[in-house]
Amino acid sequence: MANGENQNPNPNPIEATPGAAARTITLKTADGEIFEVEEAVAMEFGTVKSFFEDDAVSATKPMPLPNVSGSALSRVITYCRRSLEIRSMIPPATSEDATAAEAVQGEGDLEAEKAAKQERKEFEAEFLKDESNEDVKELILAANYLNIKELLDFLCRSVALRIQNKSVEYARKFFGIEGDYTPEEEAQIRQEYAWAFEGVDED
Amino acid sequence: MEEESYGSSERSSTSSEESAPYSTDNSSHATNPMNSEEEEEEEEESSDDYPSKRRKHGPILEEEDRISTLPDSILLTILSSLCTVDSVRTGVLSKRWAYLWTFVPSLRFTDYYFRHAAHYPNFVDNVLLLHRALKLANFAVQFEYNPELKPRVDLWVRFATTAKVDQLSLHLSSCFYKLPQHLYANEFVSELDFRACEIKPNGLVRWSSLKRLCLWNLDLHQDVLNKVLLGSPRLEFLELRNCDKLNRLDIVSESLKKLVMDSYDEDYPLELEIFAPKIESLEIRGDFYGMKKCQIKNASALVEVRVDFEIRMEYEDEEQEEDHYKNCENVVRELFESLRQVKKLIVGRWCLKVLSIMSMKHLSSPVLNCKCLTMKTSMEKWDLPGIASLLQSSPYVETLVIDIIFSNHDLEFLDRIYDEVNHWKSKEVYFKSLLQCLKTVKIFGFGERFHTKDVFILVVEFLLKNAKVLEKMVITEPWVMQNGIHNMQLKFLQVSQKLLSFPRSSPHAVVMFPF
Repeated sequence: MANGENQNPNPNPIEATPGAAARTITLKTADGEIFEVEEAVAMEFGTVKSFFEDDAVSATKPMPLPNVSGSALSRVITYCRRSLEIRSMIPPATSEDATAAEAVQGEGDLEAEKAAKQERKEFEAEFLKDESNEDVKELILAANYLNIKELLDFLCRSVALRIQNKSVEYARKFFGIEGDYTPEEEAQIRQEYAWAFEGVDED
Repeated sequence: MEEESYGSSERSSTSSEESAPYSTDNSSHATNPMNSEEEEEEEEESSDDYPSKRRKHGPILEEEDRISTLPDSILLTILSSLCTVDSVRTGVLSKRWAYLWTFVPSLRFTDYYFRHAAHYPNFVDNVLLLHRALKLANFAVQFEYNPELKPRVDLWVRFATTAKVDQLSLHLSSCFYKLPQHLYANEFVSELDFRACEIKPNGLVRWSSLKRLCLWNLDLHQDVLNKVLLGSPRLEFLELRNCDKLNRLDIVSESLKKLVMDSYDEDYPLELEIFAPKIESLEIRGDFYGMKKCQIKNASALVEVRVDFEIRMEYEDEEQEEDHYKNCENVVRELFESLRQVKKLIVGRWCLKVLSIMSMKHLSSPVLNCKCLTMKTSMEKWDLPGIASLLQSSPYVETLVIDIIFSNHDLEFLDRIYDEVNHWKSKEVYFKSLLQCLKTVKIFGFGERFHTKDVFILVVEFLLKNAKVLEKMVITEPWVMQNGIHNMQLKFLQVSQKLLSFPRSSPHAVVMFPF
């Protein structure tokens, strides 16, 4: 693959200067929608990143995403864009490797970190506020397919929040799980897990 | 150290495989969570085979089929965020889920939902019997302990350490659980969190991977602390919260970077002497019922300090209150003297009040080398002398952050000796030479404390007038502007306009209200 070509055509997304003309990558969803995404944002998608790193593929050809719908991709892009913005709020000196002495040189970096954390919290709470369970599931599938670790972790945590303290039926409906137990098997498994249901308050 | 192997043979197997918890090592398991039909539909995480693998799937599949195409790792991530009570119950959902939860590398038990205390230990025991993950990332137990349960809790701890747990947390209440001796020698654990436990190692402590230690509500003797620090060569973070019997604290650790001291409640007053040559960050916060001394000796590496505590005392009359504050003045002065070289300082509202009192009595404060100063203040008239005094003591400060917070303090005896505006004006003559380096000012929280605007305006006016190299002043209160009622917003705008009209000695200064 690397025929003596050291140059990686894709710069580190975090270092991309905001003023420069941003390269865009074209993505095509399963339902035929075309998205032009800034390179920095598209590189957050593990799938896209490796696709463009492995092949010296021209960035102008739209990359097909057969398992992602337009609505899901649009939400994903929103998330990654905002996430990049928030990450850039923290000056690089406050990475965990830097000593505290270096960190002081920035202007109130701790405050910047705190502010960034707060922004992230608010943004994440707002992001899923109006999403139905179906939407969240679709986002998980998209994030999994596109290999976006940060988004996936966030979504998993959110799903856990939605189903915690709820009944088993709720979880079943949420995940759309078809029970595949025969009545006898069901009775058996229920009995096996009886201890997990007794003495515990259920919502 | 003897290695007892608990439960099934898999756990003590020589295979060091820890990554894929549901790998085929576990042949003795009833249901293999990955049956072959699903494997074809499973989506691989790696995208190296991108072109070929993806096309196989075709267009978007049916809703339900797609959910079942989520790999186990995703489902496990979801289960990991659940409290163990919830994750266990997923066992009844379907065949695939029957034992999926047993591979979650995280166990969190809390007695919050248990109606009867007796059910809780049984629940924990049953979970541990079924659990299959080879390695635990965290193991947390929280409940109302009673000494009868000691043998069982010992077994739980043994279970966790055998699974090479990374983070172990025991939050027990009231009765002190005596930690089992084998726990003091553990090479895997990186984070320990003990509340209401009894720490009494017979021999040496060997926590070679320990990075974070939090001790809460327990008796801590100096010799035990010495053993702990000696045995934790990688310890970076130590938090001591409501730890008693500590009246003199010596921290000897080559690795410790951050120390947090939070609250103290004992009958005899605390004498705190912190001897920590490598520490970079220190926080003293909470309520201290009785503190005689608080000094940091030889903390030459200290860069960042937060002093956000309060020394409390019960007093019955104004005279006692005055005496109490006399003592506090001494404590605070000595403390600040040892913080002279600290570059980044956060001063809480109570300490600021004490500085105010000292200033009103014309007691001097030491000069600080602080470059970045944060003040938490309720912006009431009592705070002005403290603010003035602190600014006076910090001639090198480049960034000033003012965090306006709520406080319901009544310092009645101050009414007699204080007239704030005159005091402030009389000090102004000394201020001419200050604020030489101040470049940035950030003010948070003004909107919610609107009634303090007179003091606030005074301070802002002063800063603008005297900070000669000021580059920007940022006053943020998004809450008011987005959610506030129209009346409030109007008032706020009026104040903003007034602030913008003040004269500035720095030609480049920019005042911003980002919301």
